[in-house]
Amino acid sequence: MITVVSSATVFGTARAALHLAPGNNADPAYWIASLRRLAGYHCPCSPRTLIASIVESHRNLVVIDETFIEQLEGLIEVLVAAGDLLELSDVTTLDETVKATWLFAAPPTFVVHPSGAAFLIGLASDDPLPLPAELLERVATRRAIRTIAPLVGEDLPLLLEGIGFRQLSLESWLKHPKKEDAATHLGSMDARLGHRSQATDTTDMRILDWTLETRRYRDRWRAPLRQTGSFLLRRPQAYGADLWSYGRFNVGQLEALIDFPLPGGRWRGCDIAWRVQLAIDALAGRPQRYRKQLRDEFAHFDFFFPLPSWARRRLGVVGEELSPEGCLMSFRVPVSEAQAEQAFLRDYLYFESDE
Amino acid sequence: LADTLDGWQKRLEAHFAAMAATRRAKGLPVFAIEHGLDSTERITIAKLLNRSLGVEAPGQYWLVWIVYAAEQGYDYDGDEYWTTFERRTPEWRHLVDRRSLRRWFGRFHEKYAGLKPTGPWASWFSIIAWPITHALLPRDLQSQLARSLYQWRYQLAKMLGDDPGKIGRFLASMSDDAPSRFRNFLEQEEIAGRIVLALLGNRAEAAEQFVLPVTLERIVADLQKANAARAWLRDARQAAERFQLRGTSRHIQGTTDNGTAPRTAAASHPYIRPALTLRRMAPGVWNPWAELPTLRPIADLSPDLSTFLRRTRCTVAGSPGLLPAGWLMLGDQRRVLGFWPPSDRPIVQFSEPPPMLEQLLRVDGCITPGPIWLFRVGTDGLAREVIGRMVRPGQSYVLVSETAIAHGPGLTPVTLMATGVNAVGIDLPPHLPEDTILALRALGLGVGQSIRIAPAGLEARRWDGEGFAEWMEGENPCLTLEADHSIETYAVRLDGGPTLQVPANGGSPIFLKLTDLEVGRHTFSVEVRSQIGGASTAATGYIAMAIRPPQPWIAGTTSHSGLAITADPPEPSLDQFWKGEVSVQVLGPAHQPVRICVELLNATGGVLATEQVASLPLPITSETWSRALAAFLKKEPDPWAYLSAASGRLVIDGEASGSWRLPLQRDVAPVRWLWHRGANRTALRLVDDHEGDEPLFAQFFPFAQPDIPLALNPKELEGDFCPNGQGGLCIAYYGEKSEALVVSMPQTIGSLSELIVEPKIGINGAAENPVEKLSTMLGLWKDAKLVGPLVTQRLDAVLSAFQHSLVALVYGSDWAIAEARYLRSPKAQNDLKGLTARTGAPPAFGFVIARDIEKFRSMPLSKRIVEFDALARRYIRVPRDATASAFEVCTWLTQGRPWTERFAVHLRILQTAPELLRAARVLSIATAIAEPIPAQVEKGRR
Repeated sequence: MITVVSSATVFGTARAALHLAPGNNADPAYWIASLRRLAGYHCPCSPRTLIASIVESHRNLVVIDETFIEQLEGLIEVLVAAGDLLELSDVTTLDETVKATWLFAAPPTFVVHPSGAAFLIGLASDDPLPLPAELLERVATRRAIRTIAPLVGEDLPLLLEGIGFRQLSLESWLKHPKKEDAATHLGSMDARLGHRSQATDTTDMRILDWTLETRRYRDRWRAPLRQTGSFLLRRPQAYGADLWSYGRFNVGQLEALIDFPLPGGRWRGCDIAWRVQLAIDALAGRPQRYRKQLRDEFAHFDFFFPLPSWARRRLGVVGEELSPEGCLMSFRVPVSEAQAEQAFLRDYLYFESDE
Repeated sequence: LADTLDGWQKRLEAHFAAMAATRRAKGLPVFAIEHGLDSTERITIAKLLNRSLGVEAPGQYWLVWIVYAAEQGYDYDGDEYWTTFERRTPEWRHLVDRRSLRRWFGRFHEKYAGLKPTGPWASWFSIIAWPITHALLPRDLQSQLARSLYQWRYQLAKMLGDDPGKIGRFLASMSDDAPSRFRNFLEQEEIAGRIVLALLGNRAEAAEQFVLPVTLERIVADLQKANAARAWLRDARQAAERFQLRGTSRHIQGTTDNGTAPRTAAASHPYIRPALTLRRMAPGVWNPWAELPTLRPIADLSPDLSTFLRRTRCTVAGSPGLLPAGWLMLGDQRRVLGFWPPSDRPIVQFSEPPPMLEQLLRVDGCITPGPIWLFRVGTDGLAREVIGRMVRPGQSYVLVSETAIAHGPGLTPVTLMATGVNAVGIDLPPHLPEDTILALRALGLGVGQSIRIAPAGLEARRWDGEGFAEWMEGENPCLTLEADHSIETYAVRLDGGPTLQVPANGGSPIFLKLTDLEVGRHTFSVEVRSQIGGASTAATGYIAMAIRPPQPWIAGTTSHSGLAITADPPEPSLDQFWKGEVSVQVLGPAHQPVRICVELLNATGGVLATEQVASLPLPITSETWSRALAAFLKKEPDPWAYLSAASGRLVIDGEASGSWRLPLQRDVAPVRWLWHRGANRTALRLVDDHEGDEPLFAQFFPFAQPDIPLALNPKELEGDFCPNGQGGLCIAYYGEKSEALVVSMPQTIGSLSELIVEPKIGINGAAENPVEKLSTMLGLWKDAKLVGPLVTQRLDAVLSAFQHSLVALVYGSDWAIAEARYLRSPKAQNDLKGLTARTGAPPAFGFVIARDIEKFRSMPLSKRIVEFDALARRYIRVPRDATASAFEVCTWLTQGRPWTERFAVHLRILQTAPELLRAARVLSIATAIAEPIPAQVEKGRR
């Protein structure tokens, strides 16, 4: 049957198909569910393919502008940090001869939280959470985090494994790089840079210009002009998403370059790059700062610079991630944990508090 | 009477007689588990039967005994049936012949319409097949069945009106990787299908007629004790109910279907259309790839197609090389194209496909017909094909053509990294001048006034940007309509339904919602008429839509995960794996470590042992895999679990990137050897479940004298048996069937020399048919399973000894010595000359062979025979067909093929031309050096 409908009904119909609460608008939960659904059949693909697909089917429903694209990019990051999407580098999958960095849909997996609840991660092609209805009804969703709590006397890991989900240990899921001060970390990157041969082609490149005085992360990206020093940069590659790199410039000329992730490394290119930038900022005497506020027995942390996925996961496990308001990322952790997390952010990512 | 077996016998007789009368009328069988006894009564009869053993003749209470036996089948834990039975009935073994049980069940079949088990498993296990089948759905299979019902709930929901046998066949065809006990259960297709019908709550009356309600309740109650099984069953039942409700509502609305199943729109036409995509490599450089939908929907059409697709390799036109069997069963695939594929043949090609597959591929498996292909460039750097070849202002395209494309306004040359076609880029401004429109039309492209139909809100799967979209069953697609010119009304239509007139919204997009779409293909079309300058013009647009049921998620598959894995052969056995004959290739993120394990499983799928094969960084090529597997097999994993395993599973675990499981099947033979680990020692045990009328024999051939059998008493082998010394070949056989195991015993070694075996072959030329005997013995040793430390090395020594004796018998003892000397030599030209001198042929013949050895090496076998025959005839007398016979004998001996009467004929022909036979052997040995070593040789033990 064909019916003429309003745009509100279009949203309502899509929300019903995505198993979301009834409504006639697009909230972050709607975009997260849409991205998961798209990932089920587009992955492996670049993030841009997921975004293009959403844009295509919402052209007449929402305003498509830079803010909207930024929102989608941010939500893809949220899904990567939550573990539903994996960004894998140097992958040979399309063809034996072609390597690329792509987003993959993580297979259905779970991680048991110390509280006994299980984080549900990953998705299947036609089903963003392939659980029988009886379990599905018990799943709690907070942004991109899906959890299920055990019933009294229930062996939840055994049950989930019986259904086919794989268990990943909390330790393995939260694994992070070793502790290094900013100077040592940057020194090791610069040493790698020194050994690389000269590269000059800067076509389509963008650098993260740390010389600019702005708190807005996105505004720091620009084409290389006459900068001198070492900068993070992004450059297009044949297959998949743009590469993250670190390069040395001399009056806008690229002198040396290394691509992230480093060979054999387990961290994503952007995770390495962001840590490098945080080290650069710290050594330049302008460390990145976060806003900390105490409310309702929780310490709220607002970040204006992206956190690597390993740090994001940790804060999400210790506390919970919130919808950001006037910042890039927002978390709250119990007050009793706040000090330890502040130390973690300082020791591993060179952050300072606004306090 | 309730306290006597006599009373129970009579009660059961009455019960089953009444059931048989009802069931016979409907052609349905009775099961011993349908006894209707509650748990207290079952405990009572178990006690009474145990007490009666040795006191009363068991045959008097045969019906009570088969009920008891079926209960053991229902309860048993997947260990050996008799182990469980005899543990619960300790005196049985000494006082009752197991075959009595088969007789009693036979009587049950005749007297009370009891089901007679059929199928390969039932014929192999002719006694235990009865109680296990009569347990209907044993406890340990319930969870497995619930999982299958859940996994295939959408397909099964549609089959509820079908013949039960078809449902059983469907489940069997989808359960290749299930535990062996479950596969055995599914061999009773009709019964399995009826149980499915009963569990899904369909046709309650029919279910009641098939299973006694109290028995069904018991099974469902047991099944629901496991949380996962309860949840699976609930979802499967809901899917069935939803489908039936929909079928009913359509029927009430007066559709033309027959009421057994809802009508589907071309539902039997699976979606397999390939899509072409271009990816920007650099400015102006594009690389094409083919996106190939999985062929699983075709496999779901029939078990035969499923088997073919799982086991057959394929090629993709435009891309070099053969792809592994089952490649398109793993999920959608992509392939980079080095040359443009032809549009008149399917892009995926199989050798000798079944007619139905061939037809489906011919109709839907080809790329869009040429001679031009249009691709719209997206913001993600991909250009997707526009099937309708319609361009729109403000967009960018890549046009691919079989012929050269003339340059024109707005066209820029681009490089396509595939041969056979040309390509140009098209960047269209927001407003198209008339000359551009004309130029585009001249290229064969549609342009101008048009309607745009696109998915709105919920994204479509496989949306190509213009003309094709796919949604899942139950989804209500929304579409947006836009026209790039002024119109008054849209006339919209779905398939052949009524036309709906939709007023235009003053240039704003219109949203439409489509509901109640059935599974299958649909066409949504739009037509508009407008007046331009007094002339009436029409524009039409359409999209083809496919609605399909969701594909169930199957744990352990690689679709969409970060690992791309292929295995060869696609369905290996556990024994093939253990002999190093399984090749695996894993692609994924470079350097990421993956852990590879083999899990050994019991008959119910429980893990007996897990052995780590290797931990390797990606990618794993077939070479790195071969080395890792060979190293693993040398380590001598736990023989106890290997021998006891009913099946296995190769697990490739990439942690967050996913894991993948390859089932390793094994046919569990009724007679089999187990490795038993006792408190102080390890020993062999023979399990005998064949219990047919053919007597069982057992023999042991020690490594030291591998052709001299020592007779063993099969009864004694049911206890512990420790082969003497270093071990050897243990073989048990009855009728035509045999089960052989080479066991190398763990020993406390006094010196290194004790590690080595020096086999002495006793059979010589004086024996009757010595060549046949040696060849048969060689085959027995070669095909046996292997266990124990140093077994490979010791087996190799035995095989070499047999080979040497065979060479001596066929070519002569002096030749065997000369050949052994040559094989130990550096194999230089002089060594070869020395060997040719021993052929007995004129020296000139030997000289020419040695001189031309390189030439012979490069020839295919057929040509080599012709050339060799021509050469031989110049120097020696060559009987008719003798040359071909000589080469065939060489191949048989080199490859250790089984003996047949054909070789006896060859040897008779060659008796008069020994020099020819030896000269052919020279070529066989010498050419073997240069020929590529067969892949298997390097892969593992052999």
